[in-house]
Amino acid sequence: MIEISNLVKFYGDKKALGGVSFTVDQGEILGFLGPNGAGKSTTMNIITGYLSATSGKVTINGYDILEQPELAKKNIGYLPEHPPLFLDMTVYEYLEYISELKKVPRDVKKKQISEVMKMVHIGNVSGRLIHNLSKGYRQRVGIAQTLIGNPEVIILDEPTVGLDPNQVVEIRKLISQLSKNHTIIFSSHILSEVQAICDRVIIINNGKIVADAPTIEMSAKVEDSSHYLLTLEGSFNSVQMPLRAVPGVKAIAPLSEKNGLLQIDITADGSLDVRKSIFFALARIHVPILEFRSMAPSLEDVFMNITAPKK
Amino acid sequence: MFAVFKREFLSYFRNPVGWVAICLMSIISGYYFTGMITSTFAYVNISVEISYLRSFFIILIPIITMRLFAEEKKNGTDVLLYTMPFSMKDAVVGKFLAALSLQALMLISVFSHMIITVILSGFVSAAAWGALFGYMVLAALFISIGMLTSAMTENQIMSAVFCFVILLFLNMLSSIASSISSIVKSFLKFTKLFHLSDQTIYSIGENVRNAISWFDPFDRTNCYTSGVFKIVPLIFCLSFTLVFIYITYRVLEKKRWTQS
Repeated sequence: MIEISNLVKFYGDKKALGGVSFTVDQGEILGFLGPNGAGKSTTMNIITGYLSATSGKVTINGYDILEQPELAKKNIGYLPEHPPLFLDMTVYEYLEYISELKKVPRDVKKKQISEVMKMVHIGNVSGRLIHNLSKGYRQRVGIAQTLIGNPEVIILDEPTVGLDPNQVVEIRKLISQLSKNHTIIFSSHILSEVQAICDRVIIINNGKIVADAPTIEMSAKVEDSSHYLLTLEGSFNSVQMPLRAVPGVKAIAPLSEKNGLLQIDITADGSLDVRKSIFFALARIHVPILEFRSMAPSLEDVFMNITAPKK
Repeated sequence: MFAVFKREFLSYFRNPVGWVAICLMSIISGYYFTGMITSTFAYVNISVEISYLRSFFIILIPIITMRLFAEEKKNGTDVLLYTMPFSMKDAVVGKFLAALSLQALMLISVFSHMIITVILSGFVSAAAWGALFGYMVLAALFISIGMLTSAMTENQIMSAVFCFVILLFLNMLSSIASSISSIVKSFLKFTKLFHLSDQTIYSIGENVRNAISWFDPFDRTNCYTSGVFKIVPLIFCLSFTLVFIYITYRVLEKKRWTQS
């Protein structure tokens, strides 16, 4: 579907991308993750033809973005970080303009616009000036714009930035809906978002891909250590020594201690199952366990692990 | 191309620019026409009116061209032009035609004056049509210049100022030409650089003046105002228009490679 090989991009002397390659298959939702300035937007801009790479190649459905730009671009709907909206147009006029730019045949134009408006729930504002819409609505109009012309690939650059939590949930829901019949590339620096929506994650840092794996495998990547959250009845001083003596336990950190309730975080060796030993160690000193939770590593951990500068 | 044209043309009337431009033009031409009608001779010459209007290009053209690309860049909507399945050439030509159409629409008051003239006197001289033709040819050239300045910056005011300076320069080209020619003449005369005769110095000066005036679009299209059709001024204006449209296209394409 999308093949990207060895993209290099210089802005003057500054290297923004240093040889990025990956492929995206049909129907996949790819999360593109990285800190600000990592090269996410640059990569997306190159895929969509907004920028040209210094070297490297992008093909979409077999069409090279530089050699057959019109055919390649027909397959892409792109929402940049700042939605390209004309504030002086109404929502309907805007979508009409977009369908004319995308050369949607006249006879299906009207039908398609109303379908798209229904899909992203903007039918009720179709006659309003975009200038008067809230940020959430504007973002939805931006997404509607990508859907016009029914492209197979949808590329969204940080679509949830600057929205309030309810709007974020709505946009995520929308993206999941779209994923049923589109290939989606979706960038974000919010990890939980990518974890919730995407099948596969690519982590980019300093213009290089540092990790590329299915979302589930990505979590397994840092399982060389495991975390447990415990709530106990007792004091930290009394449990500290016996727990440290348990083989496999690497660190203990108190999270909170009040009203005789203690919450601690235990880091243990991933290769050993320390749960039983922890239970018996605490039973021996008569400290009741009120809660015992095994914490699966989050993408945050993966992210920190991979992108943190090596010591 | 038509989509861009339509949006651009209609957007002139979504904000005040289109209305203000038409209004200004109507006031200026109406003022001149009223002056002609109420003068003691009551002699109306539409072609003179049109050639008078040409001197307002210097203000009107920057106003109608400054937003063409600068505004899109500023609002980030230029992404659409780069990522939609059509060539940037279409966008450039569409925008150019939109500005040219507005310029034509601005002549609506002149048309009403023509109709009044026909009602009162029964005919409009061929010179008036010639002047209209010359006006539009010149407008096309200046719009292409304004469009280029708009493509080079994302600040509308800067674009307007650049365009204004260039048009001002073209407007003054004939006087600039004669002053440069006299500078050259006196320089050669007083420094006795090549020991030239007065005759030669004079002809060198004239050649310099002619060479500079060769680029004067106002001077070139004057023949249309007097009802004479010549092909050379038309080719001159059209070819420079095409050159500027092409440079605009190249400037925009270049951004793909250089912008951050």
